[in-house]
Amino acid sequence: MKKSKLLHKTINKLVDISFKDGRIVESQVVKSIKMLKSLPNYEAIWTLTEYLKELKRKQRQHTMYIETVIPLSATQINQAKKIVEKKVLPAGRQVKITRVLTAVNPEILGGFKLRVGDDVWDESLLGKLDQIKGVIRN
Amino acid sequence: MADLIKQIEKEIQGLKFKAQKENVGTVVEVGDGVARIEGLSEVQYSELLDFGQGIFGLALNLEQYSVGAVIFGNFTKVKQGTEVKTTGKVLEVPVGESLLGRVLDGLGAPIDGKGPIKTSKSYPVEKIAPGVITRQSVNTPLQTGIKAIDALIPIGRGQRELIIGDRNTGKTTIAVDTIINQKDVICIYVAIGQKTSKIAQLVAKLEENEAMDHTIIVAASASDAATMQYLAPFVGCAIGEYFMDLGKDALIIYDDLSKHANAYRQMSLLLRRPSGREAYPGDVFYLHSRLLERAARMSKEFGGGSLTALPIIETQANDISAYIPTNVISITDGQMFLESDLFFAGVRPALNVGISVSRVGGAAQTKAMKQVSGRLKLDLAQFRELQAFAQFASDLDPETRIQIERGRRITEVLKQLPYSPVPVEEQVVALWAVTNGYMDEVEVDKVREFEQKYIAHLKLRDKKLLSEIASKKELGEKMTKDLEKSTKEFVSSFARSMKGAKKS
Repeated sequence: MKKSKLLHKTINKLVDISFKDGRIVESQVVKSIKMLKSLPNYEAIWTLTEYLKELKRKQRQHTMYIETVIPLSATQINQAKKIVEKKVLPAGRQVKITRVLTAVNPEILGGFKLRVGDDVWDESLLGKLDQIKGVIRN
Repeated sequence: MADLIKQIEKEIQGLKFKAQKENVGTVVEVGDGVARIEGLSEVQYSELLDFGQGIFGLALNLEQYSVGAVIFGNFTKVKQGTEVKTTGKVLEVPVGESLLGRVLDGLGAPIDGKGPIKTSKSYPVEKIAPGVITRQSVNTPLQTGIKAIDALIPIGRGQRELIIGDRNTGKTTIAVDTIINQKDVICIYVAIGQKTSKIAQLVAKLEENEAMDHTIIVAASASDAATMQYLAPFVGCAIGEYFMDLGKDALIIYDDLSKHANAYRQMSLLLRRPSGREAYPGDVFYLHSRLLERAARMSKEFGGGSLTALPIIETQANDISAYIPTNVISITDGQMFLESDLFFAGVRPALNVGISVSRVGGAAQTKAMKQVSGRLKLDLAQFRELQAFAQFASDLDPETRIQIERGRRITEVLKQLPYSPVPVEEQVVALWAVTNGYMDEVEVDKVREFEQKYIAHLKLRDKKLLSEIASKKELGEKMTKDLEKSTKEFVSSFARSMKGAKKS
């Protein structure tokens, strides 16, 4: 079923106002959900699903996911956050990191793997070994 | 081996590791070789995607938050949640001389068991066709070795000539005959959606006729995914373009584009693109036009190479007004119609010369062929008009009867066995003899015997004349006189032998 452009625009606007400085504003989310629930049933189900998807998508853009072999200290995480906000993200696409997720993954052997939105920076030993593998293959 | 290890060590030592920035996405939906991916915010149209485990795909639908991509290879390994990376590259295929004699799959990988292909060059699969400035008009013939085609529907190097007809009318045979007849032209045969056994038979036939050494086969059989069938013609074209850019002449056969359109329709429907007439997507015309536009004859400043395309279209019950046939007819520079009625009537190749045309080939015909084909076309046209009266033969005036009889003999001369292309000089003399009435006294069922013996006679007695026609490519006054003399001699000896045979 093709949904109207108007609904898409509304969802986008609601998502925009549900965020402030890269953080989800809970009260605004509750308000938005109430508003979408008031729509006719067939539209409400679709718009709510899309709204939540969109919300998660936007939240992912403000989330830094970091994978290391050993657990990182709070200072290290803060430092990494600052570097990502100022230096790593390309100009024009810089965002405020409001959420940091960490994971310990021994499979990467060493170094770290960092993800913000759809971008991944691989500084792991496994990634370097893959680069060597590529050179040998070619 | 030691050198190789040293070289690898040297390259590893010199390797500068860089932080790998990748743009990633996640597969949310996958089916029949088509995947929907969320993420990949920086992906470009037609960019190669890495699905991991050596599986690659192509980004074809760029939507606001998701990307529709086709997967090459074993798509059953791709699951929901699989991470997909952009590569920043467009799809490329290996090209080079080492491809000659090989059978490749829809991605350019060898499938003939003769080991890996040793080549360092690669060409992009999708490329913009050469522009107007880089081209020149078609002026060199591409001899197919089929009398009816070379005389009446001539093909020039760089031309696009469609072969169209129902199933089992000899479309592939014409293509194979053309490949067998080539000496200095590199041939690429693209098999789309065909049975693997048929492809194997074709390879065997080409090997039997020693034509594989100048041929490359790109095969995406019926068992391959629709994505591979969609790609195969573009891969073949990229290989052909490489030879064209080297200044060589190449010939590419797409067998067939109806199945290609079907594969594209399947892919497009799975990508949820809106469908149009006969459920084909709206850009099915562009699919074929961008492919066939890549066939060209380059000007001397740009190497002077050429890529001739012979697309094949299979019709249903001779319906050429269906969507895909009309599209391809309008794109190409002419078409050869093959009819099942003619095929079953014993006219093989079953070419309907009345409605087959070549829009540019005439300019590329040799002078000798032009000299004989002009008369031939006229005689055949008159024959077709009078054919309806043929059943009242006894009531016809002698002139009409002669025209009908000559038409029958011409039709007989134009018949040819499969996989036996005829050199151009032999075609010229045979057609010259029939159009000048030297076969008028020969019974229709003896025409082929006459022709065979006549060629053998000329080869034995007037080999010089034949080689002169082949080299000079024209029939001079002296040559015509010599030919007349020789033909008269043969006609009387043939008549004597026929009389002798009747008496005994």
